Amino acid sequence: MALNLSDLTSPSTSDDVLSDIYTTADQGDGIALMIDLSDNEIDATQSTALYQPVAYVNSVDGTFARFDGIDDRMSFTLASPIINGTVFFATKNGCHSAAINLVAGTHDFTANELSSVSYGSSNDLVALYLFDYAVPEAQISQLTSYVVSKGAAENSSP
Amino acid sequence: MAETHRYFKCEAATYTQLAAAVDQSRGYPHGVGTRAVTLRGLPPFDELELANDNSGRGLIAIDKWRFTPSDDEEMLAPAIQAGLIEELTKEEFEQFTFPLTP
Repeated sequence: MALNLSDLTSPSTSDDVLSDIYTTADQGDGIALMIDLSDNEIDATQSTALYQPVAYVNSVDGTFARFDGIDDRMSFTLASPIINGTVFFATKNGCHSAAINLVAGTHDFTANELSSVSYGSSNDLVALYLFDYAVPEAQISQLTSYVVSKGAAENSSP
Repeated sequence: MAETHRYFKCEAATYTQLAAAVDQSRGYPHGVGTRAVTLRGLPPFDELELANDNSGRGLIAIDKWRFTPSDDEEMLAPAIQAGLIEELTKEEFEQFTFPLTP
């Protein structure tokens, strides 16, 4: 079975910039590519195996990317426009959203960090969304329900 | 919680040979010509943080699960025996990453 979270794409988030995780990797494989499922084609990559998060896709754990919490990271390059909006992390122990301002250039992310800013503490990423506008609370709630149905946890663990 | 990583301090030329051996054993690079390319198994030496003891050796933490049964015997043991790669505890590793106090 391959890791394939492409069904995470929600009609309500069609204008996101970097959206869901998608790759083809078997359980335990390193993830070299996460494809941007929006029309913006801002894929995230990692060409060094040691830094690649690991694909989890099984009926016990669910489907997600596990970062090791030390040096695993994915990178994407933002040309333009500059992102001034909202980031949304969906992880196995909580969902986190926050305002974000990203300049053009290359940005790294893990399951709990984007461009050196922390969001929660999970190492298990179900999905990552970037919006180039301030997402209203109602849409955050809708998105949270959606990713929870795909294996994310709603609230952060204490 | 059980330790998930192994920690090493490596001499540059030895590390570079080790990285090449890892690439060969794992079949890297693969996926060339696709977007899902994996170029190498380990980062190049010049991407490693240098130990703060002026030894010129690089520091690297590697997930335990990445080691195959033959890795220790065929790749690591000879270099460790020759003193060219040192395996550290996590505490020792962290000591080498912090600036030395005057």
